[in-house]
Amino acid sequence: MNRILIFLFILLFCGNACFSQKQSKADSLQTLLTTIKEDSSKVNILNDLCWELISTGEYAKANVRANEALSISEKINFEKGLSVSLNAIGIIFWYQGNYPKALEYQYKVLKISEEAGDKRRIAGSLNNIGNIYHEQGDLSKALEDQYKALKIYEEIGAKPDVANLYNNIGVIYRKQNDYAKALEYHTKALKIREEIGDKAAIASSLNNIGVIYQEQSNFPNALEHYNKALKIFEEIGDKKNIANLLINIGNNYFKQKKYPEALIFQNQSLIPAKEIGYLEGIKEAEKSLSEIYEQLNDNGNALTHYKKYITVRDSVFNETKSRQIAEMRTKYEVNQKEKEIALLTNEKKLKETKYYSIILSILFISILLFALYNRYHVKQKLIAEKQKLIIEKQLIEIEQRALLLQMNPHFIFNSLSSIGSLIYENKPQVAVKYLTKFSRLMRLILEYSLESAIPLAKEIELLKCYVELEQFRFEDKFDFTVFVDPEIKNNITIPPMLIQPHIENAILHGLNTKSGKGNLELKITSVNNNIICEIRDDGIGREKAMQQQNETNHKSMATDITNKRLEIINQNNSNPIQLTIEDLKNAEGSALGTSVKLTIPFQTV
Amino acid sequence: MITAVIVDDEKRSRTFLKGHINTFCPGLKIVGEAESVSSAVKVIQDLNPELVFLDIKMPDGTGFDVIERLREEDKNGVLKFKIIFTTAFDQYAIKAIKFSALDYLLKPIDPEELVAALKKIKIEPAQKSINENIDVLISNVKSLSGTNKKIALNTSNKTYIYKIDEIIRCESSGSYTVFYIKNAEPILISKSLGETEDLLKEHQFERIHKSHLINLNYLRTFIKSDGGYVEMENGDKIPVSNRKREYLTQLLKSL
Repeated sequence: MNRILIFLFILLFCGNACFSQKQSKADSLQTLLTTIKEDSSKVNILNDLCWELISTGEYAKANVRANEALSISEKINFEKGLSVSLNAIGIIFWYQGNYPKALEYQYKVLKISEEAGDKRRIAGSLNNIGNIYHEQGDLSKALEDQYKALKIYEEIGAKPDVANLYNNIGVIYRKQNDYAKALEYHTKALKIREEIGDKAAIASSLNNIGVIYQEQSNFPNALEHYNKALKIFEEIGDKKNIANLLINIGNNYFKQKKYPEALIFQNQSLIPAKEIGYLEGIKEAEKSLSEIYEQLNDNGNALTHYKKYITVRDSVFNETKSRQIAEMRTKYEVNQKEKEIALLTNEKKLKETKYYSIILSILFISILLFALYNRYHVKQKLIAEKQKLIIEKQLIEIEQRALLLQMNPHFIFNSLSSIGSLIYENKPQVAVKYLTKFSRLMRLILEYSLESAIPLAKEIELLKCYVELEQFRFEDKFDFTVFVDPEIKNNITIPPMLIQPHIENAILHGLNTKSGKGNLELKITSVNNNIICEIRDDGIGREKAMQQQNETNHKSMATDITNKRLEIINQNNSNPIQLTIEDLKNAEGSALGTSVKLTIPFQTV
Repeated sequence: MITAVIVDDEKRSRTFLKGHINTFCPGLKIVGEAESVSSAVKVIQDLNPELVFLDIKMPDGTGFDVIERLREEDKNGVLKFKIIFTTAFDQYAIKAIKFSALDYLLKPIDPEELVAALKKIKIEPAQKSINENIDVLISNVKSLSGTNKKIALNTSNKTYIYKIDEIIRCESSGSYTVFYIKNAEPILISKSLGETEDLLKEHQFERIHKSHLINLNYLRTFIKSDGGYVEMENGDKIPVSNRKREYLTQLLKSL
């Protein structure tokens, strides 16, 4: 069982670090490719793309790109590009377990680099050669090549590469059971990598340190390092290493004789490993699974997994298998090209949709609103707890503000969806119109949440804005008319957002479910030092609406909030606001709609 | 081609979703639409789609009602399609959906989330049924009280249903969480411990350590020596973080 752990070193062979230029995302590189001529810059892009693909485990795709680059480099005699592609092909062979081919390509790279006198590249290929020997089990040859590489890197001051070599040398020492030296080298590597902030490299170091602890039977320490590493690899989506870490964690549990845990982690590791055709990983997982079942005395399963292990093991070294891989690769190439074309057309489409900015602003506004909504919610709760300590009046005002902000989230998010639909209908002007309206409404609400009373005219503006958005959302399900008594002076103020919930009720519960078009009326008049606001709809009526609500188990948020708010306002007022609701009926007693009247005592500025 | 039906009472919301699908989801075909519970039941029965986008709140009922009616009318009482719920804001409903490990999208729908949800559905084995998840959903929607609440745990090839009070503890491993269940094997779920905590914290679960969430009902003793740890009824010993030690002491006193 001891040998099993050893497999896991993560080699940061520095192929990509020392050869390729800055790598950006595969997608954007692919887009670039279509626009560029066959010259050295195309080779560079192809090579970058190839490294990106190798790093995500898409070897077949990567191989296509490397060969493409290789043939252009040969045509235009671009020596540097040539060695980058050869290196990539070598590494792909290596990852697929074909060591002789991998070495052959690496020696080609070494030769070209020596002829060109390029130190960086010489060191790079020495490192890779060392790594391949390492993997084949020739540790002293590996150590020799890698010390050579380290020396060159230290000379030219290439920090990340120095860290990589520390790492690789650390792994070799560990394999030679020199744990103190191994830990020393890995810690050195980790320190440099943390300085640079290279996540993948940090994770590798964490893993490698974990392996050392594990070999010293310090399981909790090992597990802690593994978990940290796994988290980072998941963040960056490195499937190969996710598989590796899951295997390591499984082995850790196995060592602790926690077999059920070991089982789930080994099983889980097979998912990413199979996804990217990572034979080495599948091999180790199958082997571990067989050993776990053996411990659990489940001989049937132990045998099944052992057989699977043998099959995978053989295929890693089997030449016919690698020929099959090559054949599969050609199949992939054709497939891949088709997919890439599809991808490119898709991207173009995306660009043509110029409305990204609109979507962005919509998102921004909703986030802002939501944050505010949440903040006030929390605040309200907190304050409620300390109720007795706070002066009653203060509490009342703050609660009012909080309630005010409870604009129905259904309204907010559905309005945004509705505006979004206009983008797909190619009506940008209309989209902009409603987006602006939505923004205005939100701004009005935000502003007035700080006031205890606002000018009547502002309240009406807010309501019109709101109703227009609802009309748009429900596709002109109803007409809206506003009547304001011209006798009312313009310095009259009322508590904000008292009327809105009743309008919302009328729309959602009265008019929305009515068959055919409805009418909504807001009438504001003045009687005996009171402002009377009447909201009248010709919807289905309260009785029927109530039945529907019972059926759906929904409680009207609007009603709840309004009642609470009125209560608070009235507590603090000798002249209370009155609310009367009347069910409108015809002579036969069938429903004609609802009328809600709010009687608000005069307040002037 | 996956065939799909969109159920939403607001036409504009359907248009928005259709726009997303036409632009970002080439493998999906909308074969029908419905704008209420009753029309949804009929459209789904007639067209037999593979996937249904199901709005939760509609004037004549909820998306859950659609599911129940379809199950009542099916002779075997099962659903033969996958579901993605859509909602603008229904906290209770979302909670119930989360417990049932079904998929949902928040409106306005983000195309990236839509694509991710479809990808997840595509990689699920075709024979994997969601009926167990639906059972959990319906029973949780009905029993709002919270006793006997169930949770569905989806692993890569199987769905496990347990009562919440059968979960002894959860332990994080990277972005996975291991669930330790009473009288059963541990289960590995690809969900972070943070998400799990959000789901379970109302059910007397306490995060006593960065990597550990425990069901307080299974806590046997709290030992303050050795840096502090708790022992669970099944004998597991779990470390308590410094930050939580004082809090846990008080919590246990008050229980």
